[in-house]
Amino acid sequence: MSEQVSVGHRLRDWNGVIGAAIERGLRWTATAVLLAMVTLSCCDIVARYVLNSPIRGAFELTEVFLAILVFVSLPLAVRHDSHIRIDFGRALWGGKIDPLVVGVADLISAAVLTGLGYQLWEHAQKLQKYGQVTNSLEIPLSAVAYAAACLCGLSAVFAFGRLLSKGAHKPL
Amino acid sequence: MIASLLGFLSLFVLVTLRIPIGFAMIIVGAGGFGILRGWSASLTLAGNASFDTVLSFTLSVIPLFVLMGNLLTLSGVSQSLFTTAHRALYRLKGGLAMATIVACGGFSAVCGSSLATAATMSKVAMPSMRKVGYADDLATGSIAAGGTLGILIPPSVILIVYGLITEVNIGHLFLAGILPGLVGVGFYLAAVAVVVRLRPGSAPDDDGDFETSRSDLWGVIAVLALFSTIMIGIYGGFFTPSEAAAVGAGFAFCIAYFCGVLTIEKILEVGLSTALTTAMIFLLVIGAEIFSNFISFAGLPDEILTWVTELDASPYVVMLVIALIYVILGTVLESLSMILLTVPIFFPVVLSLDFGTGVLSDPDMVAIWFGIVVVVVTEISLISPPIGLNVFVLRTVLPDVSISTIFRGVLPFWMADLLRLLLLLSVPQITLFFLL
Repeated sequence: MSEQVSVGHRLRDWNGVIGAAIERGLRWTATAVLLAMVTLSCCDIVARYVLNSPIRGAFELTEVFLAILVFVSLPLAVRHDSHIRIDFGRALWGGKIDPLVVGVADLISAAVLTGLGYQLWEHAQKLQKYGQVTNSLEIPLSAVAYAAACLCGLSAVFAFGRLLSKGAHKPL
Repeated sequence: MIASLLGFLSLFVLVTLRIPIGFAMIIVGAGGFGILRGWSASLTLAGNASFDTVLSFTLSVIPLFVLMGNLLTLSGVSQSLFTTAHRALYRLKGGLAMATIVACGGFSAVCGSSLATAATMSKVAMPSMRKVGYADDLATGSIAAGGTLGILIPPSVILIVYGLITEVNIGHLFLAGILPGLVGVGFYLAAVAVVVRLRPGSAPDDDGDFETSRSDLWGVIAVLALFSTIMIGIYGGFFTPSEAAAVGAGFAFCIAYFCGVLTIEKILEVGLSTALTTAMIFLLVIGAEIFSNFISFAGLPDEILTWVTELDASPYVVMLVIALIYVILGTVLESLSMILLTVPIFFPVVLSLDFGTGVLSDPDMVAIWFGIVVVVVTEISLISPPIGLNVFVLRTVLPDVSISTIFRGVLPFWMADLLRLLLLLSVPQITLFFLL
């Protein structure tokens, strides 16, 4: 029993410490990408109307930035549980059973994220094989898709991590 | 038909089991498509859809407008708007509640989200109404209802999403939202007037004992300038909605900077909350894309279209029935998912209706009008029991007020909303005024 407790604790510590570090990184990245999108568009407009020469590739950079922003935000949203759930189930079975239901729901969410990450990885491999790049800056789309696949995988890990940290509230 | 109904039924079961709606849509969409068409095609489609949806220039408008709203919330212009409206209206009976509505309308002009508008205004307006001794139900009701204006008065995340699903020009949708939004403000003010007439005790007289300063005026001017920049920029063709959102966010960044609230810590906080909202919205958009693929493949939109065409009813009756379906759906569905799930089904039906000659003879106008109607019914859903989200936002900000008190306070505004819906349905010119 004591062995189990310490393993459980160690796993949760891992989830807490490393999870928090990863979260900090993701927050910085998301904020930086957002500010980059704002700066890029504003500069592009100034360049277009004042200097009469739009920034080359501003359009596709915005596309790539959005893709990165969404997939960087995904693990954050899983960790903060900010994806929308409907509440009325809780009224049906009561507050005691609810954590169990939410736990199963998290497990299913984690499975969906794992599957999605795997499909994104396959998609990335295809993009790489066909050598798909953006029009003018020739950014390889496969790189973006590989990053998306990894971040989706990280979201799945966070979703499993939520199960662990929930165990922390209950005596083992 | 059976396949689609089973799809919707499974979706309902999964979301009841507390699975986030976006994941539930992915499961049912990919599962349904897999059963109908084969698993390998279905899974490949899920991968492609989730990547191709987000690699998009047009969709960048969403996080940028969310960022703009978050920066303005941080900067405290909501306080300036409220104080100015308060100064203008405090002599009227129920003036504080009216000022709340007007300030909500003003904040909606720079914020695209109803939940954010309600949350922001509750922090500003509630203390003043408590101080004067307003009844809790009138106070919270006016904030929850006023907050719904956030998605109608442009910019609006919901109008953007509608525009993306239906390929209607977002600039036109924004322009069409202005007048119905102002009508909404007018109806809400009337609702306050009726409530204080019936229950004078709910709104004690206000002695006007509060400070207004020059910086409040600057806050109002900043909001007006920001709103004008966005609207003139989009409608004058100077920039696309996505660029307008970026300019707006940049503008809001400057406002927040001059208000002296920008620290690295705060910027990271704004970044995080923007990221969370972005992920929440895009998971729904990706899920709806996968789910709609399955529903379209199962043939539901075609079947409903054929059915309505054979019914041969008056187009206005069909519109009214659709609006009623939305009001009912809105009581159990979350707003954005409701739009993502239903607009692909109802939009072809509405476009197929023959409104004869007049303003609605042009299908583009019908599409814009329907968009505004959809947003108004969504506003209603935000304050409808049992899951009206704005009510729960207020409850989170003000834990000492009970849910039933807020719902009771919202009731007059809810009825005003129904009247406004009927008005907008019967007089499409109000919506299309700036576009004719």
